[in-house]
Amino acid sequence: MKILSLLILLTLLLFGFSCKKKKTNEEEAVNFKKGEMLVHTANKIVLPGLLNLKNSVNELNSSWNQFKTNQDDVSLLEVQSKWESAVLKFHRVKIYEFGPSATVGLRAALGTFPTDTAKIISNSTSSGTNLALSTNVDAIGFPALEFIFFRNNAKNQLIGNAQMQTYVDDILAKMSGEVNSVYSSWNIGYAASFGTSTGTESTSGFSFLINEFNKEYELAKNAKLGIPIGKQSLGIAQIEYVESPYAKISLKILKENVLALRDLFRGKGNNGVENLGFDDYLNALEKSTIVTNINNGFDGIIADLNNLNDDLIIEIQNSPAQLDALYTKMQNLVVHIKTDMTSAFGVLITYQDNDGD
Amino acid sequence: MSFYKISDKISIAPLVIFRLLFGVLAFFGTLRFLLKGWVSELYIQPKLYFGFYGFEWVKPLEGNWMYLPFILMLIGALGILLGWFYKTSATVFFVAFTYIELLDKTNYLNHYYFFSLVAFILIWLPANARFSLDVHFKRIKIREIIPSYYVKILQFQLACVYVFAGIAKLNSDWLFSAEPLFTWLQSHRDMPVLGTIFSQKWTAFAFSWFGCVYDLFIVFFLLNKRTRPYAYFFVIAFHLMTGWLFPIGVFPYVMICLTLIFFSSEFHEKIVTRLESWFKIKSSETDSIANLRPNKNLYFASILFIFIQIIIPMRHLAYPGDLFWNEEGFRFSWRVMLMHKEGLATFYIHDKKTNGDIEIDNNKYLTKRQEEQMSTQPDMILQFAHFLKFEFQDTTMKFGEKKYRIQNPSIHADVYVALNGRPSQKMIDKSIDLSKKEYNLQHRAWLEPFKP
Repeated sequence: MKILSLLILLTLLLFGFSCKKKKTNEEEAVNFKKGEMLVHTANKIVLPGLLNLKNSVNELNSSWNQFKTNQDDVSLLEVQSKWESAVLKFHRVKIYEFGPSATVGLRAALGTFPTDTAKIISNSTSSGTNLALSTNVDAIGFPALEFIFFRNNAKNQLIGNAQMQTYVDDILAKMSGEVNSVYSSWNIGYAASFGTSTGTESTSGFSFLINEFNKEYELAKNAKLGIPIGKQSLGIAQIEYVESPYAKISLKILKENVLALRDLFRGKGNNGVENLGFDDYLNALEKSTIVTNINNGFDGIIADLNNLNDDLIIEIQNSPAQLDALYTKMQNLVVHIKTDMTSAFGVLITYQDNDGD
Repeated sequence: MSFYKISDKISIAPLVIFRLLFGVLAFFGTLRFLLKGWVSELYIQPKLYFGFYGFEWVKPLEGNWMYLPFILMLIGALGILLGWFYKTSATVFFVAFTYIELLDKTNYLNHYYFFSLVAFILIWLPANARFSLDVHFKRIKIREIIPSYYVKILQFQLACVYVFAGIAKLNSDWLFSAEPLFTWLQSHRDMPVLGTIFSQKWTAFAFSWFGCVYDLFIVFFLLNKRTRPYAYFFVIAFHLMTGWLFPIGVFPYVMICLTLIFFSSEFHEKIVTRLESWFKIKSSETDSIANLRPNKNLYFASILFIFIQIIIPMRHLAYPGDLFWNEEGFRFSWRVMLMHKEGLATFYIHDKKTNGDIEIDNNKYLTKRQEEQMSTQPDMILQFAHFLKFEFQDTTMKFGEKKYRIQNPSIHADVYVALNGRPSQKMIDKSIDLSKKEYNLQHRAWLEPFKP
């Protein structure tokens, strides 16, 4: 009987405590709301990012139309420059592959590399190619356009090649359609529902964000650096897997990608002001060491990238040791984001039952 | 007090109710699993499976044949519920369910193990001897009275879950850091009003301590006639609460239903009588007293079963080192909700001739869930390393234009794990050749020791 009273007492305590809560120093930490961070992320990072991408793709489109009329070097240079700015914008929002972007499959549709140049040429010469087919994913998007706009003698290969011009039209139309649809879905309602989805079940907005952050980081590390420099091939460099072999801005893209991840972590919005980010949540959970480790990790990687040429192929020849050091830094940061940060946030990656072990 | 003697005779009603509840739970649990698409996700899509030690020979069926055991489980569950070809049904359910559980330790859950054990026990109990189709169609004779140890063995099984779960919570992480509950409760920190409470340290402490006391003592309050109604109220409240707060599926309902076995046989008798009157069944023709003699073999088998059930959760004592870190003797021991582990395991195929490495992209071989489970559990890490050895042994790799033959690679892993809110620490050093480490039940001395 005594123990029963103890049981009841404990329950009473459990429910009773909530009424006589006092102000403590924990109060500050408790004030952090995941919902506010998600709203900030949606409104100040994702939406402006998507809008930028949308505008950039439009500009790329106009410059392409201009080129079709003028057919000269100056307008091709303009197309190339618009391509570059659009591809960089894309790498700012590629992280958010959930909700509307996942429906469209934006990451794959716009960014699959290495692009299959033979397929591009054969697609352009056959009429009625269905670009939406998954088999064509490596013949569309930014990498395909890069090949067409930047390859040797690109201008002359395009002038008079009506089929290839139509192919570019089709690729651009597909990209505009997809980007517009993702932007408007976020704008119309997804951003709002995302902001309230704060749980840790695998389908919550918060879990999506953390899981895709991890995934995007690992993609950057492996696909943009590790594989080309030979990390999965006994150290034998695999030039054919370098992301941007024609425009030669592979490491610039990697840097933009890492900066986008760092900004998300710090909650840095499009106005350049840092607000609620993962770092603030970690601090609220009294895990400031993790914040320091991750910040240092990001800064070290960016510093390395600042010292390297934009073109990975050149650096593979000139400074393999620096690339190796960069890769090690990227690998070390995975430990902090994938184990330390993710474990502090307690998000789930699958929706199956668990019993906590 | 209802501490009757082992050889006491009681009404069969508790067994009947238990059978009905188990049948319903088994049926809807299986149906839920099917409807969620988990058969394909967990048992068709994976390229490799993490078998249990000694049971690696249990292999999945080809493609969609994997649905077969689940259909058998549905049929078995219905048979149990209706008491129709009961013994066969219970056997079919047990075999199919256990087969599924043995396929891949990625999906191991304590409560699945529990369900398997109960199904096994049910095979041997005459739970179909009243209010069943077997009786209705005169396949067997009706029975009103059974030896009480038929019920006690089920009570024992439930007691095992609670008491061992309670003992497992007597560790410093649970009691003095309120982990992993603190981390998990943050899931709800944005909830209006309650969120502020859930996000605080003291709430996690209150939950931890309450949960520990509950697990340790609830069985004793359920056994005691006077405290039983209050205790059952706690059972309902506790399991509904955990079911609401954590993604633990149907198990709260399993426990709420099956703990009814602690209620008196008179209580169950009332329910069965009412059921019988609804279905207009007249209870008559009781079998002779001869059948009441306890089956000696069964009696000794149960003693052996009980002994094993007590030994298994304590086998971790035979291993040195930290239980949560090394996970030697961790499973099958009712260690529920005890750990939050997050890991990163990077594997390398090392070729001695070129002194080069192939870094493995785990996603190529493992599902998300498999990778997550494997990254923190040493035995799975070793199993995966052995799989990689097999995969890369004597293979010709093509790197662009270059071809290269790998002959006898060594397998290495760089593993970092964060346990219960601590910063991550190294679990396996990259210098160790995992392909040389044997997969067995001995202590794995090659793991980095845990630094609390």
